[in-house]
Amino acid sequence: MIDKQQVTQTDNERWLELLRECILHGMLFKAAMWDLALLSRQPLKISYRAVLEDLSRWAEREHNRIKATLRQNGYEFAGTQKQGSFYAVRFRERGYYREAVYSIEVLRAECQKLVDRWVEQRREGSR
Amino acid sequence: MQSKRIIFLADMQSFYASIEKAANPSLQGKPVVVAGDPERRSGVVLAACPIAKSYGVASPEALWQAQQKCRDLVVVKPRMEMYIRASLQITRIFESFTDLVEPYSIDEQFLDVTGSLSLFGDPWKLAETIRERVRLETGVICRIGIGENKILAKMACDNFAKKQEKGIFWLEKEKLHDTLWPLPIEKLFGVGSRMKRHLHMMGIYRIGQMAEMSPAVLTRRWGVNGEVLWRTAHGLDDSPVSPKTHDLQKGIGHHMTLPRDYHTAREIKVVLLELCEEVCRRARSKQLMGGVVSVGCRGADFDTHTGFWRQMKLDDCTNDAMTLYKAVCRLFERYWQHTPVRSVGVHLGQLTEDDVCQLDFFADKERQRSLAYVMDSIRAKYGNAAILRASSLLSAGQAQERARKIGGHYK
Repeated sequence: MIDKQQVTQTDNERWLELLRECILHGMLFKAAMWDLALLSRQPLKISYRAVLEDLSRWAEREHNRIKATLRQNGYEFAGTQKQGSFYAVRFRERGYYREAVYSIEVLRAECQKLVDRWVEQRREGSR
Repeated sequence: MQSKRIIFLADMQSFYASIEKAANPSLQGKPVVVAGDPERRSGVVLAACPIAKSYGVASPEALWQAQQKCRDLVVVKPRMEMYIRASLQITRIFESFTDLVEPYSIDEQFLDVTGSLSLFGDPWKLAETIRERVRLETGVICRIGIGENKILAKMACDNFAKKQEKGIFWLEKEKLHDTLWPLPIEKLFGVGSRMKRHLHMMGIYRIGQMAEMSPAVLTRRWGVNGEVLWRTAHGLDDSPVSPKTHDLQKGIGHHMTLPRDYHTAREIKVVLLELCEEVCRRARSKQLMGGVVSVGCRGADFDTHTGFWRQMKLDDCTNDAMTLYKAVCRLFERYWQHTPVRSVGVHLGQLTEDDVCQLDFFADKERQRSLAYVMDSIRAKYGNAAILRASSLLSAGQAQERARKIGGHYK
C-alpha cells in the first residue's frame, strides 16, 4: 500500500486551474459586453453602463494577465468550440496538444461566482 | 515492460446532486437531494450531497423520510438528460488519458491505464490529474480505486477511496491480508443482504474467512457463483476493460414501477401494452427482432417476493407491439395469481436482425411494419407522447407520464 500523502497537487493541476480561470474571465468580459448591448435599449441604461463596463474591463484585464502567465509557462490556446452543451478548448501544453471539455452550465455558474467575487472586491475597495 | 495491469475505477461522488450544485451556485453549502417529484412530495431520494448525508439522509429512501431527518433539505427535481450528458463528458475526459474506458454505470467507469503511464506518470499522479480535470470541467468530485484488475479497483474504490479525503486508494493483491480480508463479508463485491445471511449461517463473517476456505465448499453450495466469490476474495479477475462491452445487445426490456397497486387484469394489461410498445420501438430503432418474450409482475411488498417472472418462445421473431402483446397476455393470464401488482416488466430476448422475416398468408406483416415505422418517426420528431393508444388515456395508463421521463426519472 502506498501512502496517500505522497499525492500532492502537481504543477500540472495548478496550470489546469489557471487555464479554467482564464476561460472564465474571457467569457465573463464578453458576456458583460453582450448584456450591456442588450441593456442599451432600457431606460436606465446610463446607470447600468458604468457597472457593466467596469466588470467587463476587470474581467478582460484578468483574462489577459492569466493568458500571459500561461504563455510564459508553455501553455497556449489553440481554439475553442461550442459542442452542444459542452465548451471544448484546445490548447498546447509544452508542445503537446490537449483538450479540455467544460460543461457550459457549470461555466455559467462559475461566472456568477466570479461576479460575486468582483462585487465583494469593489465593496471592500470602497470602504 | 510492466507485467501487471493498472486499472482505475472512477466513481462520482453524489453524482446527480453534485451536478445540480455545480450548475447552481445558490445551492452551495446547503443540504441538497435529487428526488422524485418535490411538488408531489413523492418518490425516492436518488442522490444526496455530502451535507445532506451528514443529517442521515441516504439514497434510496422515501423523500418524506429524508425531509423528516433534515428540515432545511433542498429538493431538486432530477434532470436525467443532463446527467447522461455529464456522464458522456466524463467519459470523454477519461478517453484523453486512455482509449480503454468501460462505462460500468452512469457514475462509474473502468479505465485501463497500463499503457498510459509512460506518458502521464505514475498511477497516483495520473489519478490525481484525472480527478482534478473532472472537478474543473464538470464540477463533480470523483474517487478512484486502483488495482491490477477490475475487481480490485472496484473494491478499492467502494471500501477505501470513498472513505478517504484524498479519494484515491491502491488495493494491492499482495497486501489483501491487511487491507481487504479484515473487512466484514458484506463488503466483498457480489455479496448482498441475502448472501450475507447465508454466509453468516455458515459461520463466515469476514472476507478473510472466505478466502481461507476451500473453493470446492463454495462451489458445492453455489456452483460457479461460489467460485467467483472465492476468486473475488483473493482479488483474482482476468476480465479486460472493454470499451465496446455495451455494444452487443442480448435483450431489450422495459420495467415500470406503478404509482399505486393495480388490482385488475384490465388495468395491468393497459400497462403491459404500453411496455410492449416501448420494447418494440427500441427493437425497431436498432433493426432487431426478438424470439423470446419474458413478463414479470411484482407486488408492493418487495421483501415477500409476490408475483412471477416467466418467459416463452414466440412462433416467429417479432418487433410488432400487438404480436408481442398477445404473447405477453398469454403468459400473464397463465401465471398471474390475482394478487395486487406494483411493478411490471416486459423483455424481448434472442435478438436477430429484422431484415428477414417469416411472411404470413393471413396477416399483412408489411403493412403492420410500415405503420409501426411511421409511428416511430412521428414519436422521434414530436416526442413520445405525440401518438398514443386510446387505452393509455385510461386512468391506468402511464405512457403520458413516462414520456416526460428517462429510466423512470424526469428528463
